[in-house]
Amino acid sequence: MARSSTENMITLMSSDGEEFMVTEKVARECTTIRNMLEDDCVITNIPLPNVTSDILSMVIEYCMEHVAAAEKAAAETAEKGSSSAPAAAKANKDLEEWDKAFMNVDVYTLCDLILAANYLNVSGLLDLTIQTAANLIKGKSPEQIRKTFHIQNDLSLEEEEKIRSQTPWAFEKSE
Amino acid sequence: MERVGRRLRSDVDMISSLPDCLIHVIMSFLTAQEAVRTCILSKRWEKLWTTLPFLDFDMSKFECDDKPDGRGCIDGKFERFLDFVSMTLLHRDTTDMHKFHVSFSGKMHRSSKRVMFIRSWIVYALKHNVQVFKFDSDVQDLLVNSSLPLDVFTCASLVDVSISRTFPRVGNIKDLLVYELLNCLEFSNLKDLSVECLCLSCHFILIVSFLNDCPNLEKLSLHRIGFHCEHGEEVHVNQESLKIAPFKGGRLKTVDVQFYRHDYSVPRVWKYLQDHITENSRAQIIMTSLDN
Repeated sequence: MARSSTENMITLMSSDGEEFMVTEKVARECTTIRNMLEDDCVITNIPLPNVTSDILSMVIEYCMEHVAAAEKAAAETAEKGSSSAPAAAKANKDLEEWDKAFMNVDVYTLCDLILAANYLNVSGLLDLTIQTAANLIKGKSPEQIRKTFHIQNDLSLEEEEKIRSQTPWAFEKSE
Repeated sequence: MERVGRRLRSDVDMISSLPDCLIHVIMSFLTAQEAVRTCILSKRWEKLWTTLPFLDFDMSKFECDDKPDGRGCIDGKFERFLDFVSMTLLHRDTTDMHKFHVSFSGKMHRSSKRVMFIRSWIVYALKHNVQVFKFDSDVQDLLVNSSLPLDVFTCASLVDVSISRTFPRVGNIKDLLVYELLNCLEFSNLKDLSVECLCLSCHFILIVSFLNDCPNLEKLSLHRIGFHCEHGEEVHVNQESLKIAPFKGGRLKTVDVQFYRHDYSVPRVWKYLQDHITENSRAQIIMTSLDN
């Protein structure tokens, strides 16, 4: 199929039937989609039955931001011949701040994003969401972790005692 | 309507419904102790840690005893740490291990008989096809009191090995862990080897012959390397010993050596690396002096 525009557009369809038009460059941030495009270069419409529209829109938002940041950095390098270290450091910091703000979501959405990032194979987003989830566990008591993630404790007191007595070495004094 | 939906679903336990492999990746960012302790969250979590392929044991996260009286305190912490690592490995499932990271901290009394466990951990990791092996310690000769030989093991699974110490080892002492590990067989997948604080004069030939067992090695880092021996002699890195160890590794991309400038052997080692490594590969050699 011949294309006149400089950038190909790809339509991504969420599990609930919503369509999202994105540039090929943004779509390629998802390794899963990139592999599909490389196998079949004329593909323009990709159904994603495992991702809901609200999560897909977030994944696209993430990919667009990161593509824009990479393009901006490349443009600056081309303009000045070489990238200036302070400017690059600031751009990195800005992107980190953006990521941090992007991660201001409830734990349900966070886990949904982990699943989507894993399925679409967006490594940056997977690292970011996994790290965010791990940070919510770090340094917390079991009760705090259950509360944070709404984990129902289906162990009876006796069962919990039994597990503790089977792994006493894990519950000895430490930070 | 949508708001109500969000509110309701936000009370759902979503993390427990993730597949094991993704929960394991989350757990890989925790210390082994935090990971094991998730076993009492719920029935879903009870056995999850037993198949965790990423284990990060960090002694600095262990507390001292209530009455810190110097050595006794550190020893108590050391013993508890040894127990924890050994018990965790003993209670694991038979699942392969992807990453094994052990980090000791604080100077400790090394008379403990239990240091022999450390070698069995390494054997365990090698038997479970560990790919990423990291060992940080400032304890010397951790393996001395042990009789399990390491050199009968093949290490074909290893991809990334890093051994570091807090203090440089001077003197003509063989670093047993490095020595034995490098004497193992078959590093056919090893891509990255990083060793910090090492008396290279005792290990140089070993490293060069080891390089020839690593056809896929891409990056070799030798940081804070001392070449000199106890009395300022440099006996091992001489012209003769360099001649018997030709180097073949063709995939090497980077050799990164940080050394102390007052060492006499540096020019010879430098020449060796130049002559032998660049002859067979396009490796970039970076030599950095640590002295001012």
